[in-house]
Order: sequence, then C-alpha cells, then structure tokens
Amino acid sequence: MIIAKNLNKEFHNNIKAVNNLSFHINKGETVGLIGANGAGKTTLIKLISGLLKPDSGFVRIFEDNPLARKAKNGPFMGVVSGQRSSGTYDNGKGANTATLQEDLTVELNMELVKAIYRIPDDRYNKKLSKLTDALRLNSFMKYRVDQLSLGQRMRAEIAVVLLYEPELLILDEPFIGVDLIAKESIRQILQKMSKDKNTTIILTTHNVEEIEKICERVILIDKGSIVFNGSFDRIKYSHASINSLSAELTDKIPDMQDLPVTKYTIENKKITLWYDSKVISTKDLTAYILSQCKVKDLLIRKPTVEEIIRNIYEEDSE
Amino acid sequence: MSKTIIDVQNISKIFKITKRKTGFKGALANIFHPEHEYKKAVNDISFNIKEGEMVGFIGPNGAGKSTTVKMLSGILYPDSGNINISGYIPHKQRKEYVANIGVVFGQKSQISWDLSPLDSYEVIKHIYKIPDKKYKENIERFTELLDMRKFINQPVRQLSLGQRMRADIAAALLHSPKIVFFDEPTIGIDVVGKEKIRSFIKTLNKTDNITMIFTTHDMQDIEKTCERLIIIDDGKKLYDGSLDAIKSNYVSSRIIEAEFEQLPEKIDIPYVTVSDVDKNRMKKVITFDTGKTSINSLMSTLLNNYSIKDISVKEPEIDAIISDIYQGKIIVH
Repeated sequence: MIIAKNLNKEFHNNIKAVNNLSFHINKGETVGLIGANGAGKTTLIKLISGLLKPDSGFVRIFEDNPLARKAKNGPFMGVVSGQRSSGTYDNGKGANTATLQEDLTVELNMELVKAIYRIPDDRYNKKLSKLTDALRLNSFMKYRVDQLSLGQRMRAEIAVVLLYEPELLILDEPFIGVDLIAKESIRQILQKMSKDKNTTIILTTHNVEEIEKICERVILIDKGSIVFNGSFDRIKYSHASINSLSAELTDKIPDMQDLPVTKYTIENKKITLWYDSKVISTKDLTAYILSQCKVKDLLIRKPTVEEIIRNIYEEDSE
Repeated sequence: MSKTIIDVQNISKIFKITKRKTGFKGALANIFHPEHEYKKAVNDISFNIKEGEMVGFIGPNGAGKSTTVKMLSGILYPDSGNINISGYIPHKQRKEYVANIGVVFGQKSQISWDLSPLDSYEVIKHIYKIPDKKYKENIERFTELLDMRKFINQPVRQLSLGQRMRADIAAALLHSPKIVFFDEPTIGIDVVGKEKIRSFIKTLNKTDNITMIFTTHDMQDIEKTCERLIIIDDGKKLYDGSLDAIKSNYVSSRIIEAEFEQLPEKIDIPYVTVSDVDKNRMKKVITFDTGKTSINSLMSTLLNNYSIKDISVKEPEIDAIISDIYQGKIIVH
C-alpha cells in the first residue's frame, strides 16, 4: 500500500533528517516507528502524509480501489499528531495539527467533520456514540477546545479522525498526556480497526510497550536511516538473553553452587538468579529449582522491549 | 524523623465553566443568558509531605492533579482549606514563597527559544539573585549530571526534546529550591532520555534532600523514582501510600507466558484462565491467583506434563493495576 524509495530530506542546518530511506507497508499492516528524539520519525511521517516534499526519492500510496471511494466516505488517510513541532512550541498547549478548531466546542468540531465529509446521519450518530463512550468525551463535549487539558484534547483529536474511519491511519505520539484508561481504550479501538476493517496503521511513540501491544512490525530509525525492520520476536531473540528468576521459598534453600548462572543472591527466603538463556534454558532452570525446593512465589523476568531498545540506542551513541 | 514541609488541609477548588449552546438561537443565548456549570476540580483533599520526600501524584485526565499542583505552587488560590508550605501560604506570600520552589512543566519551557541554555541561566541568575559561587557550583554539577556539555552553548531551538527538557530541569534547580514540582517531565521523550531524567531526579532527591512532587501518566516514572504515591480521582484522594503496598495488598494474580513445542492439549486447571497470544496458538497466557492456586504445583504441572520451549512469570503491569484503581475495579484505601 505504501512504497517509499530512497527518501532524502535535508533541513537548513544541513542535518539529514531522512537519509536514503526505503521500505514498504502492506494493506492492513500495523507498523510501529521507533527512534530516539531527533532520529527523523516525525519528518518521515510528514513525508508519508504529504506535509513535506522529499529532496529526492518518492513515496507512493496506493488505494485498493480508488474508484469505489466517494466523497462521503471521507478522506483515505487520517493523521493524528501529539508532538508539538518546534514552531508552535510556545503557543501554550496543543498539537500542531489543525484537526481541531480552537474556538469551537468539541461537539461542533465533530459536526464540522461530519459536514465536510458528508457523513450520513445514522452512521455519524452510531460512530459518535461509540467514540464518546470509549474515549469518555461526555464530560467535556460542550467545552471549547482551548479549555481542554492536554489529555482531553488528544482524546478529542483522535475521536475526530476516527469519525470518518480512514483506511490509512497515521498516529504520531497519540498518547501524549493521555491517562491510562484512555490509553487502554485507544489501544482497543486501534486493535479492533485493524482486525475488523483491515485498517493500515502507522504508529510512533516512545511508549514502546504500547507499540508492542498494537503493532506486528517495528521499524527502528536512527539518524535518518532504518536500523531494524521486522517483528518484535526477532528483536527479542537477537538482543535479549539475560533473564532473571526470583523465587520466594517456603523452607529449604537449594544448592545453586554448580548452576551455570551469571550471578545469584540469597536474601532471607528469597533467591534471585541471573542467567543467560542461551547457556541454560528457563525451562531447565525452573525445573531444577522446583525439584529442589518449594516455592511460594516465583517471577521469571525477561528484558522488556523498552530495555532492549534502550540498549540498542546506547550502543549506537557510543 | 524529618519534619513536615508541606501541610495541606481540606483544600477545595471550584471552577465556573460556561456551557455553550449550539445553533443560532444558542449563540444568542450564549451572549445574553450564558449558562454556567460549577465543577469541583478539587474536593476536600488533605495530605502531609515530609522534608526530602519524593511523592508521585497521579490520576486520570481531569482528576484535579494540575489544579492541586497549581494551588501548591501558588498560581491558584484554594476556595477553602489551608496550605502551609515551609511556613508560607503560597498564594498570599507568593513573592517570598517562589524563591523556595522550582517548577518543571514538560509542556512548557522556561528557557528562551533563541538563546542557549547557558544564556538563559545567566538571566535566571539575575532574576533570583543567585550568588556567583553557588551559581557556578550548580552549573558545574548539573552540566555533569545531566550530560549537557555537548549542547549547553547551542540555541535551544536546535536541541532535541530530550536535551531541551534536561536544560529546563537544570533551569528550575539553579536557585537551589527546597521543593520542586515536576509536571510530566518525561513527556514525549525517548527511552534513553527518560532514564537520564529519572536517575538525575533520584540522585538529586537523595544528595540534596530536596522535596519533590512528581505528576505523570508514565507509571515507569513512578516505579523508578517515587516511594510514595498519591492517587486522586474526581477531585478526591483515593490512595496515599507506596506502590509496593498496593502490589502486595491488592494484587495477588500472576501471569505465566508459555511457549509450547507442540500444540498442547486443553489446559484445564481450576481457577486458571488460559488464552492464546496469536494465531498459531503455540504461545499461551495463563493467568491465576496465588491465593487460590499454588504457583509451585502449577509450574510443576506445566513443566512435567507439557513440552515447553520457553516460559516466564510476571506480575500484572503497573499500568493495568493503576488503571483498575481509576476504574474502581480495585478498591484501595
């Protein structure tokens, strides 16, 4: 659905924000875009959504069946951006997209989108009540946008874009300032759209765990280039093998002298072992511990994706 | 025992909000007979914070967090109740009071867009009349601790978000405040930047005995920095205590993630729920309550009766726990 080939974009300060980047995304895919601050994510998003023109290379976006699409179906693409760009940085609160009209109420903003894209009444009402429930818009539906808190505003913005059900949804930091409940509902909505409507989703956020829950594929960007493109499982297998196991025991402490573990500690009735799963498998180690003693509580911890990503960034910057 | 530095008693704040009506008639009515709604943003909240404590202040959007923090920092006055911070009444003795506090907003910056951080610091030095010696010392330390040497002379507009935030934090601390408010200091910042900020905040809290109040939606921030947690919702205090206490008192479920070598037969164990992770069904998530099922026998059963490739055991995520508290699925007191 999206093909990007040899994309380049340079800014005035001679920083190559996007450097010879190529990738493709199929219809219905959910792709997470991860990178450190300044890696070029937002520039890339702007190139894909047509807000910026590449210096060289191209982005092509294909529709399944463009002829079937009529004005009443709304635009093909929806963009939500939580990241404030440097230019609008001082204007108080709010995102840099013009999705919401500052001096209208949330309700009027919805009506506006309905009128612009000629969404039929029944569909609009159904969709609106669903979104209102899921994103808890009721408490501030009648407030003007400039009176909203950041999290409320973000939720309203997402609702406006989801109102017309775009086939391609681009979300740049949509969780900024959003509380845990709303985050969960946004996640559920996205998962449902991807499953039921086969919506293509591109998501950037520093909340790596959220990406892991929503996206099948991750593209890792550093200094304008792709450093990794694949599934989370692949990233985990190739980068993480140091695990830890901690157990609270009822009585006897097992003999751990001869275990091929990196390190272990004993603290009252609690033992913690760090080990490399390539040297001893979690299964074997757990089986051994269970055969030696009785555990009251047990935790087996693998590195989280966030930790892995952090390691990758840190390796890069050294 | 350290002494109480922040004493908040039964504070409330009510806002008047204009209700807008739609349509032409509505627009006229808005002008001539505006309708107002009164909202209790903060409803009878009390707490004490001791000198050197580090407190996480959390709640859903619209819970009253920002309003409370604004009252604590003297920007808003409470409609009722008393606030006493280090002997000051914030909104009454504002000028004297603010010399004692620092405020960091993740959303707004106090350093100038066109100047370098160092130039902005010079300005702050004059505003707060910071003595030369102390100023130099602080700059030295913060540059080191926040890893700012590389960009301290670059105009702020050229900095990445993470760098700018670090510069901002240093700016708020230059005058050696006794109390610092952090309002979402890690918002929009990448995982490395977040770690740097968290560890800096933690270090400073320990070494300088600064009292800190931290609002955020990122539960990792809380888990990694704060020993004490105040949860508010709907303008009221829901919980005041440690995160560990929530975990040990209210959360007894565990989550096993198991990857099987071959498709397992139906796993049928009382009180244990099993669900698939993906389409090929080789990975399962097994949820159970340690109060009802012994983890020892469950793990033994799994390891002995099934061919398992990989396994892990987790506690529920804090995000999920806190979200359950917000939604009243877990009742804390």
